[in-house]
Amino acid sequence: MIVLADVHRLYRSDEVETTALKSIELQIEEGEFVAIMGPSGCGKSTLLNILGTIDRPTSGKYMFRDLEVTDMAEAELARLRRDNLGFVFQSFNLIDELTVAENVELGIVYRKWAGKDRRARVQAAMDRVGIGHRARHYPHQLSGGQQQRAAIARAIVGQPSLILADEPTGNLDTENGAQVMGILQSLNEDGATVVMVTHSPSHADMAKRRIDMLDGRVVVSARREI
Amino acid sequence: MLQHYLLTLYRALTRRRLYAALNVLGLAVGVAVFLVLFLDVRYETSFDRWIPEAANTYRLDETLMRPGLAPRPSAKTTSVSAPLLKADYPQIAAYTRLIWMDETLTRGLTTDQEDVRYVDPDFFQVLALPLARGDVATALSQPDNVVITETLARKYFDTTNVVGQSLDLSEGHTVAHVRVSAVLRDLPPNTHLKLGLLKAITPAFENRNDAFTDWNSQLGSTYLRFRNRADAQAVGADLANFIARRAKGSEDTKLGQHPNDLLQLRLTPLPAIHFQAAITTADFQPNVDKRIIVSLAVVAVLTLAIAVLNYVNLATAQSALRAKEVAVRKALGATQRALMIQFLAEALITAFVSVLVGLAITELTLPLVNAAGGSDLTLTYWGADSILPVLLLATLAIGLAAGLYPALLLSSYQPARVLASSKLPGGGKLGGRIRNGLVVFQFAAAITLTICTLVLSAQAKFVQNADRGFRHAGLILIDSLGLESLINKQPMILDALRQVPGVTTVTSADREPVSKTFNYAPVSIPGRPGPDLTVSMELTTVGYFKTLGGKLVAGRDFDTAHRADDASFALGPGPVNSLPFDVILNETAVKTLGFGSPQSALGRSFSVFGHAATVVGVARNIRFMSPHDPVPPLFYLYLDDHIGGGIAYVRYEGADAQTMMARLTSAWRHIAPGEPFVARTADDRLSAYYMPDQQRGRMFTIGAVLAVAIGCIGLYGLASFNTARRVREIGIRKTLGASTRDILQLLIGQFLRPVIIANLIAWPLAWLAMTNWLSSFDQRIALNPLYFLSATALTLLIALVTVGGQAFSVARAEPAQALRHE
Repeated sequence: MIVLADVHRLYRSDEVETTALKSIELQIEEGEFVAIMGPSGCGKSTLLNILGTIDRPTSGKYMFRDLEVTDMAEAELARLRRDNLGFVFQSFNLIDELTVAENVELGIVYRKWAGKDRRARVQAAMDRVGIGHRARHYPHQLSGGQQQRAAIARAIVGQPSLILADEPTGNLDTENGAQVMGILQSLNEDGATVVMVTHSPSHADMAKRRIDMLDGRVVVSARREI
Repeated sequence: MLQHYLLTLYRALTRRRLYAALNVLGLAVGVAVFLVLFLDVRYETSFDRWIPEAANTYRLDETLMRPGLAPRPSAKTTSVSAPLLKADYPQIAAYTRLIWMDETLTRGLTTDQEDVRYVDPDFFQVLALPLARGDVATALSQPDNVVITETLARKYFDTTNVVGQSLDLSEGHTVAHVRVSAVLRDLPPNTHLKLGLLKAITPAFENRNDAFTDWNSQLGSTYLRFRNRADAQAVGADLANFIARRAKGSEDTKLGQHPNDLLQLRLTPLPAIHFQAAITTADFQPNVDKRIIVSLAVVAVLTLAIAVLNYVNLATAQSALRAKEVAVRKALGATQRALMIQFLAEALITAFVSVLVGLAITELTLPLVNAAGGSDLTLTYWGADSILPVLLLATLAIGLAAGLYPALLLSSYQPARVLASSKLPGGGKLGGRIRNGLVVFQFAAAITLTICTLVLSAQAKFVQNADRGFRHAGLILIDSLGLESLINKQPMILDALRQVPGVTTVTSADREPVSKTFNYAPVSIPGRPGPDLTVSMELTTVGYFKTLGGKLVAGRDFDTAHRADDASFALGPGPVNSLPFDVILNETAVKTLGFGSPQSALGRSFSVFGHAATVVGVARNIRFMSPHDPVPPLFYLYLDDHIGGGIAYVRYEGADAQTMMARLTSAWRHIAPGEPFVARTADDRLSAYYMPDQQRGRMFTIGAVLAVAIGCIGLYGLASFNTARRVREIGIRKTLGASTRDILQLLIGQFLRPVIIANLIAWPLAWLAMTNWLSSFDQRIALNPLYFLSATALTLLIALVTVGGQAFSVARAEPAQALRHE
């Protein structure tokens, strides 16, 4: 599904040049559940952003389902994200002015689906994560766990083939974190490919494959025997 | 998708009500100012355009050149030229002269002086004014046919259905029994024409007036209609040749051997007549200086631009708050195009709401604006003058102009950077510079307008209070004295007026003091080589300067003790004698004639009309004219008998103007029974010259004040937003030892810097504009640096007050509280 070949990512400012990723070689198959771990600043989030096409490599090649993504125009990337990807962020990133239902709907508002169809999908996604009863609430009225579940509902409402989660349990307590991980596992069992950045070894263990990074490089990539 | 955009916008506005209100209010006030000034500019530029074939119709204007006098543009022309032009130029489809006389109309007990216009039979071929009743083809076909306006019809007949009815028209010494052949629809206010009654020019009328044979005599105006613009241009370019061909000849009736040295003719298109500010007479509606209209248009556009820039500034400042939303939308598949459409749609919707609010403000404030500006502006929603297309265009223009940059900025945020960053993006250094640049532009415009407003107000006040050389309060001018039927009774009338309670002195003269309708006299000075100089002449009777409150700066006034010398220049019936006579000069004439000072002018002589005139006095210049025009050189003659076409001047005290008018009106019924009483106070007469500038000045001031207010609204919003963003930073600074004063300097200085820079742009702009405007005044103030410094101080103070309050409350907050701020 995903192939990264010799991917580098450099950040340049007026005074400083930072290499976030160095010579990344990575392949991810359909249906995998991958956890990416490493110390702060090792490039985990940068790698996730490149996988999610919201950042571009400085050099190297990125293939997504045999499509070369690296040189795609911005509009093409937007369509690719819209049709194939779902994002879950550490700080939830819900829109404060929109209700839970409206936030979830945001995941499919850029597709040309009829209103009735959209509403049905939104309801299904909310029910899937157990947040349907809060549909008319605003983000500031929800607990952290509820906000993250709403964010997951937004990520899956379009039935993406790839879900990218950047420390989805980072701001949650143990119980809520376990609930979120349960949802991600369930989505993977249903066929979605999940790539997750995490600091938590216990949550990493719930994935089928673990990638360790250090100083911008992949140092270990191991599948877990289940 | 539209529903989603509307929902997002609504939620964003209700979540940040203060900024939403500031944005909408700022734009709405800008729209209101724009609409009001647009209505005014549209009205002023609509003059005469409604007349059919206006684009191909021209008035023949002239400039008279006389030695010693500044070239004088005039709407009056000699009546000789029109038929000669028609004969020489086949491009002229039709012509008409329009000769105005104040004649008396009578029907039964109703009698009054009316605007009577003598015109050629082709009048309606040239000016196709609409008739309410009657037939254009026959309206002026008979010598005793008259066409009257609907207003006159109602005045004399109580109805407009008056074709075939009769009236008595006093023409000179005779009374003509005339027949109404047609009724003219009352003219709309946007025309230079003032018409009451139209009558065809007859051979008898031509015989009575020199202007039909004498190139030196100007009587009325001439209008020409061409087939097309090219024809008009061709004729206009050949007018100098026409003058050389037709006006060359004996100076009795022609203009000598070099007529182009004395006269220039030019064609003024009908729609341009209203802007001939230099040619303003009581016989047409007042003209306006085109520069004033242009400046009002500039104020309108600038004010709207300031309001739009406010929106841009606030939107870009708040863009950081929406950065997360943009990043998330992009991550979820929104293209940059989709985001741009969303933010432009938001701007268009905000513009639409602002335009509606602005329209409401305009409707509510128009009566006040009309009162201040002396105008009659209205908003029309349907028909040819509908404001709806303007509103639609304004919504689109404001929405796109205001929304484009913020849309570009917001939609360009990179999701990875925004989501990874713990800091809200502020647009970077470039974004900050752009915002500061917008504040500089806004305040440069506002400061320029403030300086101009201060100068305008000072000039208006100066002109209002300037010494006009006479006392205008407590003075009434009676035009009725000049009626042909009363000429021989003038001495008796003046004596009778002196008996009216409250009257202190009465005198008469042949015209308003130093009016635009001059009597020119060629003057030669013994021993002075070169052509004759031209000086205007005013005929007066006993007590002229005393009644007007004028001042003699040298010599003496005319008096009965010197009657034989003063009044030996006799006019009126009987032969003109050749005895020498005394004159009084005004100050300008002393300079023009080269007599040095007023004292040294006494006893000097010159020749006029073959007579020897001796200077016995010099009077202070009397200014009974526009402040734009210089006082011409003038000499006063003394008659102790009656004056043709005269005006009585009545000085009164111990009563107000209304009471005195009532007393004089009542007395007149006994003094001159059956004759109309036409009179006005000197203040009323003068206001016609000063009011247009004052009214326009008030409109300009209102626009300028609101432009500054809009700038402050924007500054307040920007300051409020920026201060809120820096709360945490301020907490850190205070923890590290900054005092409240240090914080205030930091926050306030951030906004005062662009305001100070704005002054560097505003000062030269204002100086150029005001120098140009003031140069059109003969009486004018100097451009004092105080106006500029005051405007700067005022805007700095306003900016300080706007920004200072919020800065102060944030600067005083406890550091711990600030550090906990999210």
